[in-house]
Amino acid sequence: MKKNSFYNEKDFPGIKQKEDIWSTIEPYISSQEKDSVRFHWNSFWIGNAAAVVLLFALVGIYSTIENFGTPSTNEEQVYETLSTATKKLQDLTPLLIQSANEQNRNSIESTADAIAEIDRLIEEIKNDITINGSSPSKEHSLKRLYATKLDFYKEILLNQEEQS
Amino acid sequence: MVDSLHLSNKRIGLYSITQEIKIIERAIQGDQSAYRLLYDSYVDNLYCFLAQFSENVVQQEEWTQRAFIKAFDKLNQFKSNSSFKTWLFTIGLNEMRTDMRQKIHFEDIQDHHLEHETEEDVQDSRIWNTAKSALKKLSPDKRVVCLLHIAESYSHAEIADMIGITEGASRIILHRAKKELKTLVST
Repeated sequence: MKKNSFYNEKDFPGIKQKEDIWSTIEPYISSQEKDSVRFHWNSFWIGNAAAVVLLFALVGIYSTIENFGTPSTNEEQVYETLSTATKKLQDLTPLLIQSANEQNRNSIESTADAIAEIDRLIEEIKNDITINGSSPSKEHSLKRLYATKLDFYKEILLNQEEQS
Repeated sequence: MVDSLHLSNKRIGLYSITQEIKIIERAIQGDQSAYRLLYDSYVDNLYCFLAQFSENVVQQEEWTQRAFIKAFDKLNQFKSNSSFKTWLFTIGLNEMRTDMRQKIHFEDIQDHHLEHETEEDVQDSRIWNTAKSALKKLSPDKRVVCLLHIAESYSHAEIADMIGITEGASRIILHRAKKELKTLVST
Protein backbone atom coordinates (compact mmCIF):
# COMPACT_ATOMS: atom_id res chain seq x y z
CA MET A 1 0.00 0.00 0.00
CA LYS A 2 1.21 3.51 -0.81
CA LYS A 3 2.73 5.13 2.27
CA ASN A 4 1.75 8.59 3.48
CA SER A 5 4.74 10.65 2.34
CA PHE A 6 4.25 13.24 5.09
CA TYR A 7 5.72 10.92 7.70
CA ASN A 8 9.36 9.91 7.95
CA GLU A 9 10.37 6.33 7.23
CA LYS A 10 11.31 5.83 10.89
CA ASP A 11 7.76 6.69 11.97
CA PHE A 12 6.31 3.60 10.24
CA PRO A 13 5.94 0.38 12.22
CA GLY A 14 8.15 -2.52 11.12
CA ILE A 15 6.71 -5.82 9.86
CA LYS A 16 7.44 -7.59 13.16
CA GLN A 17 6.00 -4.70 15.13
CA LYS A 18 2.79 -4.84 13.08
CA GLU A 19 2.53 -8.59 13.66
CA ASP A 20 3.05 -8.03 17.40
CA ILE A 21 0.29 -5.43 17.48
CA TRP A 22 -1.99 -7.75 15.49
CA SER A 23 -1.29 -10.66 17.84
CA THR A 24 -2.66 -8.51 20.70
CA ILE A 25 -5.76 -7.53 18.73
CA GLU A 26 -6.51 -10.98 17.27
CA PRO A 27 -7.72 -12.72 20.47
CA TYR A 28 -10.42 -10.04 20.88
CA ILE A 29 -11.66 -10.74 17.36
CA SER A 30 -11.52 -14.51 17.77
CA SER A 31 -13.78 -14.32 20.80
CA GLN A 32 -16.29 -12.26 18.81
CA GLU A 33 -16.09 -14.66 15.89
CA LYS A 34 -16.85 -17.88 17.79
CA ASP A 35 -20.50 -17.03 18.24
CA SER A 36 -21.14 -16.04 14.70
CA VAL A 37 -19.30 -18.58 12.55
CA ARG A 38 -21.88 -21.33 12.80
CA PHE A 39 -24.83 -19.11 11.97
CA HIS A 40 -23.41 -17.56 8.86
CA TRP A 41 -22.30 -20.56 6.87
CA ASN A 42 -25.59 -20.88 5.01
CA SER A 43 -25.90 -17.18 4.29
CA PHE A 44 -22.31 -17.23 3.06
CA TRP A 45 -23.02 -19.94 0.50
CA ILE A 46 -26.40 -18.58 -0.55
CA GLY A 47 -25.11 -15.02 -0.67
CA ASN A 48 -22.20 -15.86 -2.91
CA ALA A 49 -23.78 -18.55 -5.05
CA ALA A 50 -25.00 -15.97 -7.58
CA ALA A 51 -21.53 -14.48 -7.92
CA VAL A 52 -19.96 -17.90 -8.37
CA VAL A 53 -22.55 -18.91 -10.99
CA LEU A 54 -21.92 -15.69 -12.88
CA LEU A 55 -18.19 -16.29 -12.81
CA PHE A 56 -18.48 -19.89 -13.88
CA ALA A 57 -20.55 -18.83 -16.85
CA LEU A 58 -17.88 -16.32 -17.78
CA VAL A 59 -14.79 -18.46 -17.42
CA GLY A 60 -16.29 -21.59 -18.90
CA ILE A 61 -17.86 -24.13 -16.67
CA TYR A 62 -16.32 -27.04 -18.56
CA SER A 63 -12.76 -26.03 -17.78
CA THR A 64 -13.78 -25.72 -14.14
CA ILE A 65 -15.44 -29.12 -13.99
CA GLU A 66 -12.32 -30.74 -15.44
CA ASN A 67 -10.44 -29.63 -12.35
CA PHE A 68 -12.78 -31.44 -9.98
CA GLY A 69 -11.14 -34.80 -10.63
CA THR A 70 -7.78 -34.44 -8.99
CA PRO A 71 -8.18 -33.04 -5.47
CA SER A 72 -8.92 -35.49 -2.71
CA THR A 73 -11.24 -33.66 -0.28
CA ASN A 74 -14.30 -31.48 -0.67
CA GLU A 75 -12.46 -28.47 0.75
CA GLU A 76 -9.61 -28.89 -1.71
CA GLN A 77 -12.10 -29.21 -4.56
CA VAL A 78 -13.70 -25.93 -3.54
CA TYR A 79 -10.36 -24.09 -3.34
CA GLU A 80 -9.18 -25.63 -6.61
CA THR A 81 -12.36 -24.50 -8.35
CA LEU A 82 -12.21 -21.02 -6.86
CA SER A 83 -8.54 -20.71 -7.76
CA THR A 84 -9.25 -21.76 -11.35
CA ALA A 85 -12.13 -19.31 -11.68
CA THR A 86 -10.21 -16.39 -10.21
CA LYS A 87 -7.06 -17.26 -12.17
CA LYS A 88 -9.02 -16.96 -15.42
CA LEU A 89 -10.36 -13.60 -14.31
CA GLN A 90 -6.87 -12.53 -13.30
CA ASP A 91 -5.68 -13.33 -16.83
CA LEU A 92 -8.54 -11.24 -18.17
CA THR A 93 -7.76 -8.16 -16.03
CA PRO A 94 -5.03 -6.64 -18.32
CA LEU A 95 -7.46 -6.87 -21.25
CA LEU A 96 -10.16 -5.16 -19.23
CA ILE A 97 -7.74 -2.41 -18.21
CA GLN A 98 -6.69 -1.94 -21.83
CA SER A 99 -10.25 -1.57 -23.09
CA ALA A 100 -11.48 0.62 -20.21
CA ASN A 101 -11.88 4.38 -20.41
CA GLU A 102 -9.55 6.55 -18.29
CA GLN A 103 -11.82 6.76 -15.24
CA ASN A 104 -12.60 3.04 -15.23
CA ARG A 105 -8.97 2.16 -15.85
CA ASN A 106 -7.87 3.83 -12.61
CA SER A 107 -10.68 2.13 -10.75
CA ILE A 108 -9.84 -1.32 -12.20
CA GLU A 109 -6.16 -0.87 -11.44
CA SER A 110 -6.92 0.08 -7.83
CA THR A 111 -9.27 -2.88 -7.48
CA ALA A 112 -6.56 -5.13 -8.90
CA ASP A 113 -4.22 -3.78 -6.18
CA ALA A 114 -6.85 -4.62 -3.57
CA ILE A 115 -7.16 -8.14 -5.03
CA ALA A 116 -3.38 -8.53 -4.81
CA GLU A 117 -3.60 -7.72 -1.09
CA ILE A 118 -6.31 -10.39 -0.70
CA ASP A 119 -4.10 -12.87 -2.60
CA ARG A 120 -1.32 -12.15 -0.13
CA LEU A 121 -3.61 -13.03 2.77
CA ILE A 122 -4.89 -16.17 0.99
CA GLU A 123 -1.31 -17.34 0.54
CA GLU A 124 -0.55 -16.53 4.18
CA ILE A 125 -3.47 -18.65 5.42
CA LYS A 126 -2.67 -21.49 2.99
CA ASN A 127 0.92 -21.54 4.22
CA ASP A 128 -0.30 -21.51 7.80
CA ILE A 129 -2.59 -24.48 7.04
CA THR A 130 0.31 -26.35 5.43
CA ILE A 131 2.60 -25.75 8.40
CA ASN A 132 0.23 -25.78 11.40
CA GLY A 133 -2.75 -27.69 10.05
CA SER A 134 -6.27 -26.60 9.29
CA SER A 135 -9.00 -25.33 11.62
CA PRO A 136 -12.63 -24.27 11.06
CA SER A 137 -11.60 -20.65 11.61
CA LYS A 138 -8.85 -20.81 8.98
CA GLU A 139 -11.16 -22.57 6.48
CA HIS A 140 -13.79 -19.93 7.14
CA SER A 141 -11.31 -17.10 6.58
CA LEU A 142 -10.05 -18.67 3.38
CA LYS A 143 -13.53 -19.02 1.92
CA ARG A 144 -14.39 -15.48 2.93
CA LEU A 145 -11.27 -14.15 1.24
CA TYR A 146 -12.17 -15.97 -1.97
CA ALA A 147 -15.69 -14.56 -1.71
CA THR A 148 -14.29 -11.02 -1.27
CA LYS A 149 -12.03 -11.58 -4.25
CA LEU A 150 -14.95 -12.76 -6.39
CA ASP A 151 -16.94 -9.71 -5.31
CA PHE A 152 -14.14 -7.43 -6.43
CA TYR A 153 -13.94 -9.17 -9.80
CA LYS A 154 -17.70 -8.81 -10.09
CA GLU A 155 -17.28 -5.08 -9.47
CA ILE A 156 -14.68 -4.85 -12.26
CA LEU A 157 -16.98 -6.72 -14.67
CA LEU A 158 -20.04 -4.66 -13.81
CA ASN A 159 -18.07 -1.39 -14.17
CA GLN A 160 -17.01 -2.58 -17.58
CA GLU A 161 -20.61 -3.38 -18.47
CA GLU A 162 -21.71 0.14 -17.43
CA GLN A 163 -19.02 1.65 -19.62
CA SER A 164 -20.10 -0.26 -22.69
CA MET B 1 -25.50 -1.71 10.78
CA VAL B 2 -23.81 -0.23 7.78
CA ASP B 3 -25.87 2.42 6.06
CA SER B 4 -25.94 1.49 2.40
CA LEU B 5 -27.41 4.86 1.38
CA HIS B 6 -23.91 6.25 1.24
CA LEU B 7 -22.53 3.61 -1.11
CA SER B 8 -20.13 5.10 -3.57
CA ASN B 9 -17.20 4.17 -5.73
CA LYS B 10 -15.09 6.98 -4.27
CA ARG B 11 -11.70 5.61 -3.30
CA ILE B 12 -10.62 6.32 0.27
CA GLY B 13 -7.40 4.35 0.44
CA LEU B 14 -6.68 0.89 -0.83
CA TYR B 15 -10.39 0.19 -1.25
CA SER B 16 -13.36 2.08 -2.64
CA ILE B 17 -16.11 2.96 -0.14
CA THR B 18 -18.26 0.17 -1.63
CA GLN B 19 -15.49 -2.38 -1.17
CA GLU B 20 -14.73 -1.15 2.33
CA ILE B 21 -18.38 -1.46 3.35
CA LYS B 22 -18.44 -5.04 2.03
CA ILE B 23 -15.33 -5.84 4.05
CA ILE B 24 -16.86 -4.27 7.16
CA GLU B 25 -20.10 -6.23 6.68
CA ARG B 26 -18.08 -9.44 6.44
CA ALA B 27 -16.19 -8.55 9.59
CA ILE B 28 -19.48 -7.93 11.40
CA GLN B 29 -20.56 -11.41 10.29
CA GLY B 30 -17.50 -12.81 12.04
CA ASP B 31 -14.99 -13.06 9.24
CA GLN B 32 -11.55 -12.74 10.81
CA SER B 33 -9.82 -12.21 7.48
CA ALA B 34 -11.95 -9.09 6.92
CA TYR B 35 -10.66 -7.68 10.20
CA ARG B 36 -7.14 -8.37 8.99
CA LEU B 37 -7.80 -6.53 5.72
CA LEU B 38 -8.98 -3.49 7.67
CA TYR B 39 -5.99 -3.71 9.99
CA ASP B 40 -3.48 -3.99 7.13
CA SER B 41 -5.10 -1.04 5.38
CA TYR B 42 -4.85 1.42 8.25
CA VAL B 43 -2.22 0.30 10.76
CA ASP B 44 0.64 2.23 9.10
CA ASN B 45 -1.26 5.49 8.95
CA LEU B 46 -2.73 5.32 12.43
CA TYR B 47 0.55 4.28 14.00
CA CYS B 48 2.48 7.10 12.27
CA PHE B 49 -0.12 9.63 13.33
CA LEU B 50 -0.13 8.52 16.98
CA ALA B 51 3.67 8.27 17.00
CA GLN B 52 3.78 12.07 16.67
CA PHE B 53 2.51 12.34 20.26
CA SER B 54 4.95 10.11 22.11
CA GLU B 55 8.57 9.09 21.76
CA ASN B 56 7.78 5.87 23.61
CA VAL B 57 7.34 2.93 21.20
CA VAL B 58 5.41 0.89 23.78
CA GLN B 59 2.98 3.78 24.19
CA GLN B 60 2.60 4.17 20.41
CA GLU B 61 1.85 0.47 20.04
CA GLU B 62 -0.60 0.52 22.93
CA TRP B 63 -2.63 3.40 21.48
CA THR B 64 -2.74 1.64 18.12
CA GLN B 65 -3.86 -1.65 19.71
CA ARG B 66 -6.53 0.03 21.82
CA ALA B 67 -7.87 1.96 18.82
CA PHE B 68 -8.23 -1.18 16.71
CA ILE B 69 -9.67 -3.28 19.53
CA LYS B 70 -12.32 -0.64 20.31
CA ALA B 71 -13.08 -0.03 16.63
CA PHE B 72 -13.52 -3.76 15.96
CA ASP B 73 -15.52 -4.28 19.13
CA LYS B 74 -17.99 -1.56 18.13
CA LEU B 75 -17.91 -2.28 14.40
CA ASN B 76 -21.64 -2.96 14.28
CA GLN B 77 -22.16 0.66 15.40
CA PHE B 78 -20.13 2.00 12.49
CA LYS B 79 -22.10 4.30 10.18
CA SER B 80 -20.82 4.79 6.68
CA ASN B 81 -21.47 8.54 6.74
CA SER B 82 -17.77 8.72 7.55
CA SER B 83 -14.99 6.44 6.36
CA PHE B 84 -13.65 3.64 8.54
CA LYS B 85 -10.35 5.56 8.66
CA THR B 86 -12.04 8.66 10.11
CA TRP B 87 -13.83 6.50 12.66
CA LEU B 88 -10.65 4.66 13.60
CA PHE B 89 -8.66 7.89 13.88
CA THR B 90 -11.34 9.43 16.11
CA ILE B 91 -11.12 6.42 18.44
CA GLY B 92 -7.30 6.52 18.33
CA LEU B 93 -7.34 10.23 19.14
CA ASN B 94 -9.63 9.64 22.11
CA GLU B 95 -7.35 6.91 23.43
CA MET B 96 -4.34 9.18 23.11
CA ARG B 97 -6.16 12.15 24.66
CA THR B 98 -7.32 10.02 27.60
CA ASP B 99 -3.69 9.29 28.46
CA MET B 100 -2.50 12.82 27.76
CA ARG B 101 -5.35 14.68 29.44
CA GLN B 102 -2.94 16.86 31.41
CA LYS B 103 -0.92 17.72 28.32
CA ILE B 104 -3.55 18.27 25.67
CA HIS B 105 -6.15 20.97 25.86
CA PHE B 106 -8.15 22.57 23.10
CA GLU B 107 -8.70 26.23 23.85
CA ASP B 108 -12.32 27.37 23.77
CA ILE B 109 -12.09 29.56 20.68
CA GLN B 110 -15.22 31.34 19.49
CA ASP B 111 -15.92 31.55 15.78
CA HIS B 112 -15.90 35.40 15.80
CA HIS B 113 -12.19 35.30 16.67
CA LEU B 114 -11.63 34.09 13.16
CA GLU B 115 -12.20 37.61 11.83
CA HIS B 116 -9.06 38.75 13.58
CA GLU B 117 -6.93 35.95 12.20
CA THR B 118 -5.78 36.20 8.62
CA GLU B 119 -6.27 33.00 6.68
CA GLU B 120 -4.30 34.13 3.66
CA ASP B 121 -1.80 31.31 3.60
CA VAL B 122 -3.34 28.66 5.79
CA GLN B 123 -3.87 26.53 2.69
CA ASP B 124 -0.26 26.89 1.60
CA SER B 125 1.19 23.47 2.32
CA ARG B 126 4.74 24.22 1.19
CA ILE B 127 5.76 25.25 4.67
CA TRP B 128 5.01 21.75 5.98
CA ASN B 129 7.70 20.20 3.86
CA THR B 130 10.36 22.16 5.73
CA ALA B 131 8.65 22.17 9.09
CA LYS B 132 8.13 18.45 9.73
CA SER B 133 11.00 18.29 12.17
CA ALA B 134 9.67 21.27 14.14
CA LEU B 135 6.20 19.77 14.39
CA LYS B 136 6.93 17.94 17.64
CA LYS B 137 7.79 21.26 19.30
CA LEU B 138 4.22 22.46 18.87
CA SER B 139 1.72 22.01 21.68
CA PRO B 140 -0.28 18.75 21.26
CA ASP B 141 -3.53 20.55 20.33
CA LYS B 142 -1.81 22.38 17.47
CA ARG B 143 -0.02 19.18 16.43
CA VAL B 144 -3.32 17.27 16.28
CA VAL B 145 -4.93 19.83 13.98
CA CYS B 146 -1.82 20.22 11.80
CA LEU B 147 -1.45 16.50 11.29
CA LEU B 148 -5.12 15.85 10.64
CA HIS B 149 -5.33 18.69 8.12
CA ILE B 150 -1.97 18.49 6.38
CA ALA B 151 -0.82 14.89 6.71
CA GLU B 152 -4.24 13.21 6.69
CA SER B 153 -6.06 15.72 4.45
CA TYR B 154 -9.11 16.14 6.66
CA SER B 155 -11.24 19.25 6.19
CA HIS B 156 -11.79 21.64 9.10
CA ALA B 157 -15.39 20.41 9.33
CA GLU B 158 -14.17 16.81 9.69
CA ILE B 159 -11.53 17.79 12.24
CA ALA B 160 -14.18 19.67 14.22
CA ASP B 161 -16.32 16.51 14.34
CA MET B 162 -13.39 14.31 15.25
CA ILE B 163 -12.10 16.33 18.20
CA GLY B 164 -15.23 18.14 19.32
CA ILE B 165 -14.35 21.74 18.51
CA THR B 166 -15.87 24.22 16.07
CA GLU B 167 -14.77 24.45 12.46
CA GLY B 168 -13.59 28.02 13.10
CA ALA B 169 -11.54 26.89 16.06
CA SER B 170 -9.84 24.31 13.88
CA ARG B 171 -8.92 27.00 11.34
CA ILE B 172 -7.57 29.30 14.03
CA ILE B 173 -5.50 26.58 15.68
CA LEU B 174 -4.00 25.66 12.31
CA HIS B 175 -3.24 29.28 11.53
CA ARG B 176 -1.54 29.81 14.89
CA ALA B 177 0.38 26.56 14.50
CA LYS B 178 1.64 27.67 11.15
CA LYS B 179 2.82 31.02 12.52
CA GLU B 180 4.61 29.22 15.33
CA LEU B 181 6.21 26.78 12.92
CA LYS B 182 7.46 29.65 10.76
CA THR B 183 9.18 31.13 13.81
CA LEU B 184 10.59 27.75 14.84
CA VAL B 185 11.95 27.06 11.37
CA SER B 186 13.52 30.50 10.99
CA THR B 187 15.32 30.44 14.36
